[in-house]
Amino acid sequence: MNDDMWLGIAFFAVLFVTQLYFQRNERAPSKWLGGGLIALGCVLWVVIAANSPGIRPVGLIVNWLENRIFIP
Amino acid sequence: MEMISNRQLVLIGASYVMNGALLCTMVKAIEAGYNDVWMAVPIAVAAGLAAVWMLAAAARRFPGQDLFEVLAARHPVVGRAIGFLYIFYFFILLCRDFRILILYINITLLEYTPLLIVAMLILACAVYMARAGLEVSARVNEIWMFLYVVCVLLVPILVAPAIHLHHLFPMLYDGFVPVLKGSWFLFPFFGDIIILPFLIGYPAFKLKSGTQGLLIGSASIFILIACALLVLGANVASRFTFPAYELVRLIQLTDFLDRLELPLVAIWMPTLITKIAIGMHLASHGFGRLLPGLSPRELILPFGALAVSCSFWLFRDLAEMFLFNRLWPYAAILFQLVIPLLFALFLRPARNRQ
Repeated sequence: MNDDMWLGIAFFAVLFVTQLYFQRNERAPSKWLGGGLIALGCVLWVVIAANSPGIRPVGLIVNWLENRIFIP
Repeated sequence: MEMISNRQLVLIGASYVMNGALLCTMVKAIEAGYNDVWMAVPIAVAAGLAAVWMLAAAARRFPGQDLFEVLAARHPVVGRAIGFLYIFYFFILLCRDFRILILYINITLLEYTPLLIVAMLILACAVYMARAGLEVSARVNEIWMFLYVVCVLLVPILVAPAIHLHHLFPMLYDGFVPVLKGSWFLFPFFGDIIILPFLIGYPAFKLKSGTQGLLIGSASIFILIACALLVLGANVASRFTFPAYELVRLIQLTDFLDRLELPLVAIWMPTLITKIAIGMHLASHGFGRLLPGLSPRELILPFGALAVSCSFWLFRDLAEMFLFNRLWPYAAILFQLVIPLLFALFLRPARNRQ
């Protein structure tokens, strides 16, 4: 998973640079919002790669709801 | 303004209906409905038709505007909030499609290739397609969906020698409840047809085009479910991860033409990649409509990148995907039936005050 983490960071870094410098930007807010979304994606990727088994949002929500509502 | 033909819009709708259900929920529906699951398809279609009818009624009042535009213009605060909720919903669909395609490729085709490499390749294709605009995605989708629908129509003929009618009996052995359970799992996927009025407004989207898209997509699913039942039987089909794939693997023409599943997958996969491209377009287009200072085209790549991360974060494995599909119908009731009903009742043009 560690290899995946570095590969992912490199991938998101390339996307970030592309978004900020190589894309023909028409409007500045989109450029920075886009950069922010890519950075958020990178942070999420690092969290997943570093602590993979501990993070299960869907599992947590379903387990929490299972006793509260009827799930077929 | 981008223009797409009625046929292209119908095929985008069909792709949305069919592609999600094919991989994500077919096995759950068969597991729930067992050998009567084919009866669940029309019930799920009825729910989808209700959603299309309500959205078409709302869209008809605002010619030339998609629903994001209407929401932002008509109710700047509440409308935008609902618009962002829908963007979130479409983004989850995008993540789900991304993840199921990566999982499918990993399980059936490229077992040892790192998942991120597969994700990068899909992302590159989808981003290029989406950045070129909806017209390009619609044209690509038109080519591949047409071929795919033809292939689906050929499947019953090609598997005809292996069909066993006794797999459908005894009918309704456990009553009608399993059928309803099967339709519970199918209807959120058929209801994905609601993306159409958010992509393009009336008169391009109308009741007829939405209904046609829904019927083509659901008929494809019906054919594949019926063939899986008739050939494999509910007992075997419900134990495969991808029953449709296992079904086409059984196709063998004469003694030397086998492994026909690979050309079929080669025709089907571009339809799913196009669906992902349209999903990215939809999310960025929604942002552009709700916040006019933003350029939708520049947000496609960031949305794609975020979708890669979120798809791995939300769905760690296939088990989690199936777990998610158990809960998804509740979200679908809200986004496909309740909110469209409110649109149909209350979303009306402002009256001119003199």
